[in-house]
Amino acid sequence: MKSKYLWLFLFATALLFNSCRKTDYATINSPAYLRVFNCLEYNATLDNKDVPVPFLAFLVDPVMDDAGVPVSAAITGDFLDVRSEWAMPYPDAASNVIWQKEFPGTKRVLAGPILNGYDLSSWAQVPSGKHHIVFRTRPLNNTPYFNLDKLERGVTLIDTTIDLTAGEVYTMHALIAEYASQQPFMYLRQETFTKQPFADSMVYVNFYNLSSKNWYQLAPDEITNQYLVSTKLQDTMQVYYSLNKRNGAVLTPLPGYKGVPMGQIIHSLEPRVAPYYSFPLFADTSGNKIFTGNMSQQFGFFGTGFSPENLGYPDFLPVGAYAGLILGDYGDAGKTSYLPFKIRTDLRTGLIVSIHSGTANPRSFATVNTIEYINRKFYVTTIQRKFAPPVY
Amino acid sequence: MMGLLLVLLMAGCSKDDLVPPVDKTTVPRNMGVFIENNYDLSLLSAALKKTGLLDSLNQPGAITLFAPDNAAFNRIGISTPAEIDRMNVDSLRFMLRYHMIRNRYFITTFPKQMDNKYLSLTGDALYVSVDKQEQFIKDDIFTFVNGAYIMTGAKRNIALANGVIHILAKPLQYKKETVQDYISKDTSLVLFAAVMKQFHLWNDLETKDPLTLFVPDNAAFLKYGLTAEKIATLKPADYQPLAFGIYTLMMRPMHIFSVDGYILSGTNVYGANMIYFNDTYSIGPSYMRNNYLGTEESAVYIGKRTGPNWGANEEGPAVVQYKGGLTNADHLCSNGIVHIIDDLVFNPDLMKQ
Repeated sequence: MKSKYLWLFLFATALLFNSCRKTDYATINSPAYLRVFNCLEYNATLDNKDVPVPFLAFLVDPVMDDAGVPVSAAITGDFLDVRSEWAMPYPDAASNVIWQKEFPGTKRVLAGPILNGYDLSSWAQVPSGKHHIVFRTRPLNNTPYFNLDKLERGVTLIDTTIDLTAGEVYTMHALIAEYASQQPFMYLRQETFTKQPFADSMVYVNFYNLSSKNWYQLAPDEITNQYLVSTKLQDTMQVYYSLNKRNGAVLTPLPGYKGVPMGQIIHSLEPRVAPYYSFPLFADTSGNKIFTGNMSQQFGFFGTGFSPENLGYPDFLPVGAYAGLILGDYGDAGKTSYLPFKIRTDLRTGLIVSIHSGTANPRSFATVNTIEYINRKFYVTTIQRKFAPPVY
Repeated sequence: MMGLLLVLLMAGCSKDDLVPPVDKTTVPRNMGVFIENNYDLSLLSAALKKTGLLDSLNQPGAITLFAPDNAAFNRIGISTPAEIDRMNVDSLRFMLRYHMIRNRYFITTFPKQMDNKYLSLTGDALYVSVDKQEQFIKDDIFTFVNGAYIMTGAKRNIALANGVIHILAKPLQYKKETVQDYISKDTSLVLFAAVMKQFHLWNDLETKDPLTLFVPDNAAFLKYGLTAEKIATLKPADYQPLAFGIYTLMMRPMHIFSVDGYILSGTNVYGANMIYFNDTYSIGPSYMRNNYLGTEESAVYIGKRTGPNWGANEEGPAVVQYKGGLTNADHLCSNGIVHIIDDLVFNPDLMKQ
């Protein structure tokens, strides 16, 4: 009898404690969506070793002390390392790394919603309106920015203001404005993919050349001990694409998708959305239209007068005549003058997301992609659509 | 029965104090006590006593001390406490305080990059550089203060009650004066000063900041027949600017310690450890440490490009040594770093234009 009361008491206590739990859901009124990349490449040499290392703290509306050192900020994107070659379509939730390849990255923030079918979980919600933006350098360690000694809080690389419109999607870059002076600047692009009438049976891709001004003219054509043949892109290049069926290391071009003209990649630091081009999600007609089959996408960039038909051996071509990029299960190894750029994207299908969804495993989904060329490097951003969760 | 239970109950309630007595021998000592009782630090101890700083190191408050041990003092020619006693108290105190920074810094708390700037107790900056390359023992990562190597193993991260001690391979050398003052106070560098004046570079040594100088001593100039009289007859217009400008790195704003080339050679950028002039000549400080033998090797390498290939310097020696070894490198001044070398980089006769 007694124990019965005891259990009752315990049960009541448990109820009491549970009912006391109160969750304050963070909300941001009329947010804009912001994703930030650090595109400042850095190679330390004796010549530039005193230059501040572009390992950044991204600060929104910082409060500065009298000496101009930030003491707090409304939003802090700390440990902002140089962006990775492939910006994945979703933040890697399992990752507990401290150094970030982008903002918000894996930082716990209010992420963007599903907007018009696009998964904006890689975008952070930011209050719309005017903001003061500061990029500071910080030491290469694991101490949060505002726990650092004031002496260690680096220097300001970028200090600017932005005006964000509610409900809009923005991509921000820290870029180099001019090659000789190496002065960095902020580049803010208002994205339009959520508003464009894109079919979900096509994969979309657009191209930007965000290299710094005078980069093509001044940067070395060759660097000793580095594989650099055909890695420089002129201000305007023609883009051709090829879709390959991939069986291990063997690539077989899909019929009708070898060297297809696509559009242009134009050098501009104006934050204007470049036109999107597309190729079909299920280009391989032998497939089952659920999984597109192991494949990779290949993009060729051709200077005036060159095309896939008349391209010679790239090592013998002038600088700026050709560059090539292939996407899929590739690392840095095995670069050739035909394919000097290889980027690891979706391991099975490159720019296409193939994942367990519903009862199909894998199932392929079309994406919207941005390919950016910045000072001899390619960066790919993949945006995925919402898809049904897996059924086991 | 009840009584027995009660007794058992009481006995069960008895709680022995199981905390062992405090072991007085393992309580961390203060830094001052540690230094005073360490044979390897007897010269440092003598210097701290002479300047009255030893007491400060027994006070609470965290300090990180980069401590030159006796071997380090020996390298700059100090081997007995009597020699320490003959030194000027004020400059000695300044030097010792320059070896200390506030707060407790263990090796892993230094960011893994070059030239982490810390303010010493004199208010002047010292620079901690951490190598990117991992060592087999993680804590043994190569770490340098103003180009001075921090010893590994038990000689670093010595945690004490009021701070941390890291043992240095050579004492830090900092003078609160311009590089021009530094050179003019050293009589073994008068010929270099004469050349700088003759080539109208002397005033820049006072005003430009930062600078890195590779300064040949008098013997090096005499080797090429450049006496004070001969230097007075040299005409700057006859020589390429690099002939003597190389010693100031053409006044480029650089501050390079003797180990920086070594740290950068660990990166994957080809030739990052050299400084280039007109794409024709290169100069780079090299450094090698053998931790098994406890030896350091260093030199300044000069290269020349012929066609696409970099080779040895043709207008002078390919390798120049620091005069008397590494202790004559890394003299930090308020507007730059002075390295004393024992040979000219270029034979002036071959650098006429």
